[in-house]
Amino acid sequence: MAHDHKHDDKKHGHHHYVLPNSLAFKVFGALIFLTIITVWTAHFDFGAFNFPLAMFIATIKALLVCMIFMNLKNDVKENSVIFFTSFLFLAIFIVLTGSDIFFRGDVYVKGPLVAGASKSKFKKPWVSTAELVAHGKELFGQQCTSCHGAEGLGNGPAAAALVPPPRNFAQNAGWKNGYKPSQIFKTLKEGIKGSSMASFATLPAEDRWALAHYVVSINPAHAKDTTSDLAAVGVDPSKDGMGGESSSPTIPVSVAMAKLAVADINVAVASSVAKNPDAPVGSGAAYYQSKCVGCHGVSGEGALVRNMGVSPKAYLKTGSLSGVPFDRFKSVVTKGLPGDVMPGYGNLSNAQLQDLYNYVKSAR
Amino acid sequence: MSDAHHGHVVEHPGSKPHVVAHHFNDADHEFDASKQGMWVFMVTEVLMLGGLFVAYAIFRGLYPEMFKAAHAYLSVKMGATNTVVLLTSSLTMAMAVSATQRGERNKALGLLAATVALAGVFLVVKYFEYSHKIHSGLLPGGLFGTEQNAELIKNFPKAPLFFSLYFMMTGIHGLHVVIGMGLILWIMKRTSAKEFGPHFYTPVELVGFYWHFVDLVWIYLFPLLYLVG
Amino acid sequence: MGHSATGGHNYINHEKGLWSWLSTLDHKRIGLMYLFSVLTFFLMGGFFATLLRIEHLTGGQTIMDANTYNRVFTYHGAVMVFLVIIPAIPGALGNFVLPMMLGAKDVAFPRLNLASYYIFMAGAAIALSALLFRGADSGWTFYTPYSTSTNTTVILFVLGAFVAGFASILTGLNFIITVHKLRAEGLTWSRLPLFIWAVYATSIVQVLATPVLAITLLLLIFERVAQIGIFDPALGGDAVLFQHFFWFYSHPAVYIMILPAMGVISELIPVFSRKPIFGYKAIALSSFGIALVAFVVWGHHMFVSGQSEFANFLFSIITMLVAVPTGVKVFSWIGTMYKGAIRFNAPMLYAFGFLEMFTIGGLTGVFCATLAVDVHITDTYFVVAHFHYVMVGGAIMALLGGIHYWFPKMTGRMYSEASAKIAFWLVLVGFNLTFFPQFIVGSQGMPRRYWSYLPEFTRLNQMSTVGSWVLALGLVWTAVYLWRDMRKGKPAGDNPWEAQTLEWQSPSPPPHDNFIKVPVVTDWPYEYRS
Repeated sequence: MAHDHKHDDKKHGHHHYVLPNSLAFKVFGALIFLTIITVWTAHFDFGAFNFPLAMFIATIKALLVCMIFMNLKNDVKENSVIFFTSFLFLAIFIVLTGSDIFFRGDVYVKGPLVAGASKSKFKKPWVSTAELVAHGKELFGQQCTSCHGAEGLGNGPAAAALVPPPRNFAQNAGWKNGYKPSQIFKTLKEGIKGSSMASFATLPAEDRWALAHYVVSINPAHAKDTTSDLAAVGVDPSKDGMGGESSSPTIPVSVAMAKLAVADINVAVASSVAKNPDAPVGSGAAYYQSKCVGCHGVSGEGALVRNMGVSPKAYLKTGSLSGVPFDRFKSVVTKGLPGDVMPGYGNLSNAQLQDLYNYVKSAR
Repeated sequence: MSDAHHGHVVEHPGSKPHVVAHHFNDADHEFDASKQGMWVFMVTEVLMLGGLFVAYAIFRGLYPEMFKAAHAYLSVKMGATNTVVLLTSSLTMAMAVSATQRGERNKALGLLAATVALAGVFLVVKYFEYSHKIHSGLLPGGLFGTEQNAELIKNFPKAPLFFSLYFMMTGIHGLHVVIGMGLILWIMKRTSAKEFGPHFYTPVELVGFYWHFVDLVWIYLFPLLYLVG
Repeated sequence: MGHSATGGHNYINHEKGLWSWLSTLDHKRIGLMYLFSVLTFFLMGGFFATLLRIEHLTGGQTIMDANTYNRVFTYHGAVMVFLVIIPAIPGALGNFVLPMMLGAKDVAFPRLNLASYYIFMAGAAIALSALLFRGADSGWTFYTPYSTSTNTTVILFVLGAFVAGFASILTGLNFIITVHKLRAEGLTWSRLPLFIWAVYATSIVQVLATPVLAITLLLLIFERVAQIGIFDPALGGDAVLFQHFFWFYSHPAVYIMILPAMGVISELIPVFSRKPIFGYKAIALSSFGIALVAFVVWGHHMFVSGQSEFANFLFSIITMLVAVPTGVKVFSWIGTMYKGAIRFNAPMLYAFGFLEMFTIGGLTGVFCATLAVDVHITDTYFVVAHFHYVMVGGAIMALLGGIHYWFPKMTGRMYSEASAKIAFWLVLVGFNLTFFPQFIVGSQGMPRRYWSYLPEFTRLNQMSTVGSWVLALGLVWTAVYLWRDMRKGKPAGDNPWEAQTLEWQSPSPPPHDNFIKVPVVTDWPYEYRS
């Protein structure tokens, strides 16, 4: 403190503490010894005590360095208070951050997505039960029938427009990933590239298992899973679990953002339709709003299907089809793009197509 | 006060005199203030590096098995060698400070040179560790060589995170080592210019603090990264 | 007048020429350099704010497109936070006043002090250089994953804030040691002026919190250049962890902004009420209460981020605690004024302005701290209004009050009281007209950071925009008459306010060494008799 220093001018430094070399060597010896102990104890497994033990030894070493080498022991108390305060605030940082990260019950965000999984209704969802099949049937009605049809015969309302066509589950031939439950589970998780089959990874794992079991039940000739089949999708049949998901499911940021965009676009579609009630029926604008807007978006941003892993061309956003001749446009719109999500709309007249072409070309 | 604008002067035979800054009462006052300033500075260091330790604690808490598996790719031998090297350099630094306090200038210079040399050894070992990691694709996050380490990635898809933390923590620590070397060289230059002695050794002592702090951080990094139990 | 004793020598004419300023180690000159820089950035940030308000004259596009709007609100926020309010009171007023109040000749480390100034300016230059490229549109909070994926030059902005942070750390360090080691003889802790207590508490927060900002921004930079993935869920990281890191600094930073303002107010109120301060110890210790609580409430910025409900609950409860030390201060100030012989000079008017505006800001803060209410008002204009009442109505009012209060000490001349009163009323009316409507549109659900708004919010937004013009007029007018009076004002005398803290016991402007005779303190500085 300021007031302690009213000494004679000539007497500086003489009362300062000087570390004797003998003590320095002793401390050094202790530090090396403790390092050996740390490395040595790391070879043994003390279970939950491994970590605290290593930290305890490190802290003894750190204290030796602070107290002797940095001479905190003989320093004014103030400096010790200053230095050790930092660790108090570091502890606050860790503990309160942990109060979030390690306590995420996730009711708001992931809740709706994983509600089923976190309740863990099914202990071993890869084992088919009547209950699972019934659950799968219900989900099938919500998620799959528009393409695969109510009976799973590949004849849903959207099927005609899709190239390649959706699978008929009653047939045995041509299954890309195979038709065992684990293989269908894989398809549901990853989708099938080059087709309209999207990834349904955002469904909880057990819902996907339920769907797989239901699909298998459509054609009971399908083979059963072996242990190695299950291992291929990450399931250890001897343990209860999430059914092929090692940790609690999360959704990728890109999917979350696309989902937000979907919500926005639905509002935008509604308002855009409301804005142009006078667009003549059969005109390009009206046709775009009824058929194209769902995927390509009101302003052509194409947000709606981005979470299916495809990006519809942003024709409206980029302003024109200047590089695309009418013939090509006509062929894509009427026949669709094989291997892509773009379906064909064969029932359009030439005049309608021309009108649509002009609209897409001009609109911005 | 010797004069309105200058503080007074402290001297030691064979050394340059030191002029105490005008706003301090005397040399001790100046020394105590500087030393406490250094302690406050170390508080800021604790909290800055602390951020990385928080990230470490969080992710180790989330993925304990992954940490266990990924740490096996680090070389305990090299880590332990570097621990011993840094501890030794702390010893030479502490002895350099006390030699300066006793007025043994040549001895102090030798010890400071030894400290810099040991820091150099630390960096060389670190260089071999880093080049091995880079060679085998054990890199942070998006740069991780997934094909080279397919086995690890298959069992622990989040393993790149361990190497992100490894590189950030050891990288920032390494930067401190480099800065420390620069500071010690600066102190050596001023020591040979006979600026320090029993009358005035504040910069030597404070650089010593900094160097011990660098050692202190490594004392924790070693078990946290190399010896995950 | 005391000028005869110094022969007319003071810190301004001690040395001449621009270089003598740029290379000065004198805390008073460094303080003034901070003041001019900060006020320049304040005009810049205010210019951006005016642009934002003009854009909101109409719901659609008024003067800029949505992408420009995103950039402008980012510049406004980042400039005002990192380059204005954080350095304003400690860097400018603190540097000038703190050593003098302590009876010291300088801060403990004058060279470090000058270095801090240049580090600050370097940080500002780096951050603002982003404007020459693609700007930044992430908001001043730089939240991941947007800040790591946007193609704007966020890195430069982040790097600038990173560098400027070190200036803040070093200033804090310098002040802590100055207060510990350089107090005049007899100036015990229980006799310290309350401004010192407040700046001291601020310095502790700066030293403990700012380093975490450094590591956060460094990780963000590495996230962009090396994909380390600590904040990227796709690589196993956690985007919300960034918010924890960010707010571990940035919530205490809010107190870095308001604590020194409270210190200024604690000086103004007893001097202009001619009464001893009420509750000296309570005010001094409540600064520490605020500083401590600052570190345990950051999660209230993250109630809807997907943070665990357990953490939400903890942070909500602890946040309520902030009201306790703050309330202690407000009641003590009111207690001081009670039955005082109040002088209505401009600094005191600003103190009144502070008391009322800050209290509105503080009480609406309780709404935001209440978990269930916050879920509704998060990211609406209600929050915008809340923190502008605290930051502008609180920190900026106190800054203006402080500038007027110490203006005679800094320049040796008196500002024009009539001009100052006009300016005060313009600022007060303009401020309320700007921000009060935002409480209403916010509570009705108008989201912040949106370029456009629904038609029903038009009238209130237009009110707010007109208010911003009145506010801008008041501030520009302040700059004009202070510039004029700095050179042409009437000589002020050494102690025009009859204040008792040590800086007023020295000539105005003070000599290079601050005091003609090193003072010895025998009493606390609030012994006023009305």
